[in-house]
Amino acid sequence: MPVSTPVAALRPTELEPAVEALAAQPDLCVLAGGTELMVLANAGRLRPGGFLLIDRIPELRGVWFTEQEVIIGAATTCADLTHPDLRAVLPALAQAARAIGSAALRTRATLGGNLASGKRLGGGPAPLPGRDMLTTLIALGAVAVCRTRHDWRQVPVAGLYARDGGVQLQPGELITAFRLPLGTGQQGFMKIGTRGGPGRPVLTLALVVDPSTRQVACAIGGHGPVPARVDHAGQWLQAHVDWEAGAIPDPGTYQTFARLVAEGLLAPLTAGPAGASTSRIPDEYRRQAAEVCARRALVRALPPSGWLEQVKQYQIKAELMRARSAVERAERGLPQAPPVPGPITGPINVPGLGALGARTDITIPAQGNGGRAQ
Amino acid sequence: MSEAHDFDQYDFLSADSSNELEIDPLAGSGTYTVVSSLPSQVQHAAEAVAGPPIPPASGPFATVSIRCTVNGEPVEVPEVWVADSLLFVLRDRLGRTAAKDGCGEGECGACLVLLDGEPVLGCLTPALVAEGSSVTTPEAYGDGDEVSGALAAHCGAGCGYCLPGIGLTTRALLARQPEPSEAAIRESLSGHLCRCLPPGHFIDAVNEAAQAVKRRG
Ligand SMILES: Cc1cc2nc3c(=O)[nH]c(=O)nc-3n(C[C@H](O)[C@H](O)[C@H](O)COP(=O)(O)OP(=O)(O)OC[C@H]3O[C@@H](n4cnc5c(N)ncnc54)[C@H](O)[C@@H]3O)c2cc1C
Ligand code: FES
Ligand code: FES
Repeated sequence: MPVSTPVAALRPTELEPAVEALAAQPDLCVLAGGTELMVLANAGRLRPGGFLLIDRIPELRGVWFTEQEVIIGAATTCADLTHPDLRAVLPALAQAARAIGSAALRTRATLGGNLASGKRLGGGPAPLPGRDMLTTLIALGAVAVCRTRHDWRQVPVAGLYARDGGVQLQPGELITAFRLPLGTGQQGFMKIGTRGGPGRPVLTLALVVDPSTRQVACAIGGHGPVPARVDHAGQWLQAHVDWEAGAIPDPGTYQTFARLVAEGLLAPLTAGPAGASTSRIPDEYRRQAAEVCARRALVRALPPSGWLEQVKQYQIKAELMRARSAVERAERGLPQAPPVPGPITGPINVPGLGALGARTDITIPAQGNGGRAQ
Repeated sequence: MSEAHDFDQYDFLSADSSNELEIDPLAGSGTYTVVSSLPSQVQHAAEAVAGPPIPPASGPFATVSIRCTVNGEPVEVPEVWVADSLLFVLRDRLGRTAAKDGCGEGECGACLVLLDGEPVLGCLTPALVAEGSSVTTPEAYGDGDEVSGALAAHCGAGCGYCLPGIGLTTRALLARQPEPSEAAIRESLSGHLCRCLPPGHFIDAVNEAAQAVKRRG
């Protein structure tokens, strides 16, 4: 269904017409929740040729639990992400969503909009937005799935950004979903900011434990254009945890881990222009903040002993969600197929990839309905 | 000391005093602090958020016509600019002025309305999102109910600007949780800024409204 005459506003209920409209009318501005765009419009800084509303596309909203992964639609709202079922499996994501704005803002603000915020609408530089959800997605090793009319593209979330933090989406490209490895362990998110608003926080930190691979991933944000994973801290920690007993024998482990995380702030990876509202934060303050947050997050996720039971609980809940997902979707008439081209087979595994690391995009041609069963 | 220096100092002081961070009076969890929305601040914040002006697209403003129901009454509004907020359309096109225009950037909650029963910020919701939906504004409770009664009794000393939004949030809360804990009350009111009253008044009001609703059964 090609769109011939320019439209002022379009609110498709399926993905295909949305990407077709974007291809046909490149000046359409994608609007998910509108919580970033409307601030600009109210301030007289945005005059769109037209809006493409993506808030009524069931394929883009919701969470799919499959055997290998969790897939979250890009237009899933922050309020959706704080749902108890999701909090039980992906607590860091729920905590990060919960820390955005107020409840009424979260009813509309979306995950995709958060990651795509700070698009240079009229070109030229703009202050970087918070993108708080990004820190957690980076710690989780998420892959963003993007779609133009003809192609799918999958890229580790950090690869959505240029070196200076600008969003790198191709013309007519929509983010459709985020794919995460199935979370089955303790997680935490922390944020220090001067205000609850859209300005940049001083620090965001996400910690993700994966007991099955015995890995601890930690990402910190707020200091540079894109949050960074501090893998050396996780690697060091791996050998200092008694995974069999569910314990951390040496109490000094917490402090050393925290110091290693804070050192991540100094890594060359993180160099770049700091965001507008935190440029006055002294480095030393941010370093201390990172240390305190990292220590607390680790104590909460892996206390000195007795967390094996907790790990089992996470596994049971994840198993449960997997079992329920397809049945409940069928029952409620929700789309069975997530907005992704198929299982990831290419070399897109993210662990070890730094925030500004090499991009490993894979482009897969979309065939008609994107290769999915109707 | 040069004049410029004096000016800098003055600027710094005035910015600093209006910049004073205060704990959101209604945010119990203390997750983060909010800034009171003084005009200078709003402008400052808008700049921080928005950056340099974005050149408008050429050509005329893109407009649409919108049909929805407002407090149960079907309405049609022609020629709505696609980026007009729901709040603007309600207040300036339809004369429903109970939802207030506070900050226009999502911080204060004065503009809260219900869209298909869900609380949303009128200032950050494009009007065209309401197409085919039902909107509830504070006018729906114009005759007064337990919530307005309790707010009038406990928060009458303030200017009242924040109350319509707080009223809707309270009704949504009580519909979900007829006997909310203090933590739940603080959490749900944390998106509303009040410049006149301390939080205790609102907590008392919500508790009283909850009891009154319960008595009515
Ligand atoms: C009061 C207030 C408080 C806030 N607090 C925080 C905070 O604490 N932390 C934080 O990180 N942010 C915060 N924000 C910013 C807010 O989180 C983000 O604006 C929100 O998540 C954006 O989602 P949205 O759906 O509303 O985006 P929109 O405004 O709809 O879109 C934002 C941008 O993303 C693009 N876009 C949206 N979806 C897609 C998609 N699927 N594919 C491609 N492009 C897309 C749009 O074209 C636009 O350029 C706050 C904003 C306000 C107003
Ligand atoms: S007017 Fe302040 S939040 Fe909408
Ligand atoms: S702002 Fe005046 S009563 Fe709340």
